[in-house]
Amino acid sequence: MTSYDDADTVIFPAGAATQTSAAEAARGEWDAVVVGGGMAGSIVADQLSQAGYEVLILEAGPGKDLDLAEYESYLSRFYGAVVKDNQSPYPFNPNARMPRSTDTMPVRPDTPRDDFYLVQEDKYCTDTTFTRVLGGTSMHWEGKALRMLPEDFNLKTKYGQGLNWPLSYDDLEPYYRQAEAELGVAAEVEDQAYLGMHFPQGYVFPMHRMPPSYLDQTVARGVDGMRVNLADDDYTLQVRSFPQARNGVPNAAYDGGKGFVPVGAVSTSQVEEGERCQGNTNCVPICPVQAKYHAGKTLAKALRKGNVKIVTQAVASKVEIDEQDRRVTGITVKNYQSLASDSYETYTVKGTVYILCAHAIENARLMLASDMQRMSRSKLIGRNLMDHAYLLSWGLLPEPAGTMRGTSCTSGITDLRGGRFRGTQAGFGVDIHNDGWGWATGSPYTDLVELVDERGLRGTELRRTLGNQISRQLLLAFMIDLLPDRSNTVTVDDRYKDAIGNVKPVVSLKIPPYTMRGAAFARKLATDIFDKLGAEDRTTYDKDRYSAVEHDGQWYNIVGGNHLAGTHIMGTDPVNSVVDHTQQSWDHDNLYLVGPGSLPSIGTSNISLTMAALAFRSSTHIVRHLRAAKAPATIRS
Amino acid sequence: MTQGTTTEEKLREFVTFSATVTGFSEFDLWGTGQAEAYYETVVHQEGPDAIQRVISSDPAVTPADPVVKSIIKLWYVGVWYGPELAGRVDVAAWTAPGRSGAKPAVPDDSQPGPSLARRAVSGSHQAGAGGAHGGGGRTPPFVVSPEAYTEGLLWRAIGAHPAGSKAPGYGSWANPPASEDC
Amino acid sequence: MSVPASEPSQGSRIQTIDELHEYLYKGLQLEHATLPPYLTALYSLQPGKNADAWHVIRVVAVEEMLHLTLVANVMNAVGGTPDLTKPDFVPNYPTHLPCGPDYFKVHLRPFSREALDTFLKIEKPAQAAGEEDRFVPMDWAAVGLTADGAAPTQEKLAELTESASVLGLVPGEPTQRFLSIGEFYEEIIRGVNHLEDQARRAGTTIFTGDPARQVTPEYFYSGGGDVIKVTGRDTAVAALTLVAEQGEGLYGGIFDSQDEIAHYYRFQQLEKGRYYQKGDDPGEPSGPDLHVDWGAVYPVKPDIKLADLAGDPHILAAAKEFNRSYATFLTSLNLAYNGQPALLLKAVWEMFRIRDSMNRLIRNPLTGHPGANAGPTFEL
Repeated sequence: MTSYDDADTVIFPAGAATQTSAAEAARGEWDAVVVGGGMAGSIVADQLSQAGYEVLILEAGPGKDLDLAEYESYLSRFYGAVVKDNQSPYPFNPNARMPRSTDTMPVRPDTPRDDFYLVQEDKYCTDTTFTRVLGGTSMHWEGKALRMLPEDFNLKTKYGQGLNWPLSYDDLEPYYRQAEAELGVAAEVEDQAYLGMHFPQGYVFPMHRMPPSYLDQTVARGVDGMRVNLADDDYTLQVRSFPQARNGVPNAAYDGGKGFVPVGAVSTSQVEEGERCQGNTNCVPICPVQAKYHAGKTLAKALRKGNVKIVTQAVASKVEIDEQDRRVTGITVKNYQSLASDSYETYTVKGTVYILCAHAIENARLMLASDMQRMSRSKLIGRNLMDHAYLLSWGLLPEPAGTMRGTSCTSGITDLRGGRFRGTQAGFGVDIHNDGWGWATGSPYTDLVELVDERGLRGTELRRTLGNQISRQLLLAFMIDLLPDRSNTVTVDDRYKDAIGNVKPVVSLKIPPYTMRGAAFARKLATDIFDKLGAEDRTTYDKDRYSAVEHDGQWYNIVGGNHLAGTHIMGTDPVNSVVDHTQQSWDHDNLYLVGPGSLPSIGTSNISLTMAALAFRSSTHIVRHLRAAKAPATIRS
Repeated sequence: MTQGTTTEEKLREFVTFSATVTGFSEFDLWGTGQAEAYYETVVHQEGPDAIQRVISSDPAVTPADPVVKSIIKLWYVGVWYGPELAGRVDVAAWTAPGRSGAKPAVPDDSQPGPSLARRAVSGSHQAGAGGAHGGGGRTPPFVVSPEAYTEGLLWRAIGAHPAGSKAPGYGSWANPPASEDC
Repeated sequence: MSVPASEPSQGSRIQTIDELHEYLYKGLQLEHATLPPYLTALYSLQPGKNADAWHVIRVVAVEEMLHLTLVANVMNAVGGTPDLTKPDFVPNYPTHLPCGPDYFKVHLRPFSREALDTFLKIEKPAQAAGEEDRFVPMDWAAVGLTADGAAPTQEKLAELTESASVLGLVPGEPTQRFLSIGEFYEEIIRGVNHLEDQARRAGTTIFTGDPARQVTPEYFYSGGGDVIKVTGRDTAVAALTLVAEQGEGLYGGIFDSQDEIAHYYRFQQLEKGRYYQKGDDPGEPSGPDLHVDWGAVYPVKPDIKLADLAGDPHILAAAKEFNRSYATFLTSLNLAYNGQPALLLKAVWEMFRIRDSMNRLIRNPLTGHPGANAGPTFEL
């Protein structure tokens, strides 16, 4: 019988989100102060607590326990929201705001200051987002969990583009496996061993791959074996399953035959939700049954150990630095009373080490607000901002293909993620979207309005026409590499502040020609694929949108990927980077910046799995750091 | 059709009429559990006589009364798009699940401010939220209640399920689509 | 129940492998019989308004599916053939489920205090004081079958035994019933032990079933406990013990051997308005508060039959369609228990379709019965 000791790791200790006050936390001296209760912060806190250290997590989001009722209030808010963007499940919080895609616009002097969080003054604006609630952006991530390619780690050496990492694929490989266990990744090694990605002999993923959708199968019939020539090399395309961090069928061969026990829903009582993925087709913005991994699963485990505490409604506002030795002496937080009020109190919490896990934009914003660029030898804080550039192409298949069923995306085309062509143009992955044209056009609601209002359809004719029309939709989303570029930045500006006086992030992100060459190729490939499938291309790009980018006389719309990275990149010395390969700050000895901001490039995989692997790796270094600094305290529980 | 007198009769008439224009049976409409909420929404937004007016209007006349279009869309997605929003594809896109992009020019109380969140949780927009009729002002589109979204008939029409609800089960998506007879 | 109870000295009424198979069939019938009432109560809850009750009932229903699977695994392991498609497998509700001192009926009805009371009675722990208390003579008057309390005719008894109209009768001796469901499983465990001891003495085993017929954790897992692959005595006893104690709790405690809260205590949380947590004593939950809105329930007509729907032809058609879907679901489940475990995934798809059609029925007001809504009749 399976030992069921793991079963209650998803019990979130009741009251954990509120029982430690900021005032109390400020009286203590913690081994580690972690800013941000998302994926990176939860992993680091859990790892440090396992090593016996006392950890404090500072969370900017509302002070609610992650119980099922709270989770379902997110779901209910999503159901009832008239605008169902990827932030719609989460409460509006003026004291720790989040970017919303619906707010995307160039900010002009007369733009009402409450209309946006992300300040963008350029003509091109990204609609990218991240989430500031307990669990962070993992609450709304899609759950694809791809590894980066070995060649992504030395792109500069190999193709003369971007930056090399101070780490190799092999350095990170054991941590990828650790991350795949933590996130519960469903995939098969034989599908994922491509473009140099390798796995130890006998490795299997925790769970079997998600079944490919009928739409995937339809696309595969046209695409498999399709040949393309790119930079004098031939590539053969195939539809391939994506690794997914969601509960599927456990692989009995996992861990030398021990198998894998999937982790269910998080709550303060035994609720037994969160079993297998049911196909709610709503990975983003919220999986209704918690079949998808979110950081709450790790956080609950960490909080149960007793030596991890969390203070919520605590927005880190300043990193305090000793001007002499440049060590961090504390994190000053604004602890607001409620979402409805802008009153707050200020506290400074102290620890032996400080770990910023607030995601790429917030980490940079916090450091810049703390005037840390002045002490930075690289001056790279907030620079090299990256996000995947998404180009959407959509067409109408000749036959119903069952669109709008499955997880958001089960398969795609990954053969052009790597290759020599990356010397001149960006690589990309292609997602086959099971949720139809929604992202691009607002279907199926737009179809409804067209058929009812414009064509005047009603009754069974309406019903039949809708069914026939939407079930044939195919959306291909090209996720295109965006290289690090110092001119893509997060900065701060005293003119823009939130309700409690914290500066808002000012973002400037331009889509460079290297990426656009990839986009142009992607567009051509999309039309070829549509031809193969007999699909009618319905793609249109609008040059009047904020997402419009011109390339070679053509306009494209490049939308955000919510894969923000690169604002404190890692490198080999204090001049070329903000952190070293352990994510330790070059400039502040007791400061670690753990998160996607450390990625010196993002390749063509969403950043979460790599970020999680790096968090595991850095945790071992932080433990060493703490061990040298002090003897571990005894575990209280 | 004779004019119902009691509220229950009026409600039944509304459902009978709705069955004709939506293409779903009266059983299916009652099966959403939303009949009463939708009836009240229409009455509240368009006035007490609006339903009787559309029921007795000639279905052969085109373009049909825009209120009929609002009623169809209400059953299909649980959103009240007032008659003045007929044909507004940009508004439809803005309110669709999964869409990203800037908001269109439309009266909007969706944010900033916690008002939307409160309303969504309490789920009682249609009653007492200030109808449009008589006021002369335009009403922003709204979801009648969280359940109105999950009970949208659109999803059944397309052989699927509302994004985030009524899941069909692990792996069922690998099968060819099956559409219901109608 | 008296757990553990595998001492070979204890007598068993199960003397042949055929008798063991018969007991296990009754186990399948019993586990399944709780599903229609639990599902009717579950889907009678108005969406979004009774989340705590929703989750509590849902988990119990999912775990009844687990129990059904575990009993099927035991049956397959000892060379039996589960059959969920026999006529009379599904009771004609209301059905009788005498348990402990109570003779009560199990109805199909909406969630209510009365429904919860029945659920508590179904799952109530009742441990026999001594060997002689494990069996209780049937009080036929209490179930209303005979006026004077005398046993019905042999023919009638045979019919009762086959159908599920009185649950918990002792197979082969239908004038007696088990004190509790726990004692019923206790008897099966004793039978397994007795027959296996006997077989071993002869150099054989009763565990002759094809292991490929086992439903393994790849095919069935939930937050609510793991399926156990049954290959021998230890795993059979573990599976049967889990079925018994997941209903009633282990040794009078609120948790079972997999650290899951037992059904009785899950339901009691709704009565007490508070969740149990680790370390609590029975009757005194100390976890987070929970809230029940007794009014946010669709008024499903209790024990509704197709015959009640004559005045509502659309509803009648849908109710018939539902019963066909339910039969299909049982057929798929049966195939999964008969050598095609992967079909359990397909049965889950059918379960979800059943959920949708139950919801539609339950929200339809009846014209012939003012104030009442339709519901599934489970007349197969």
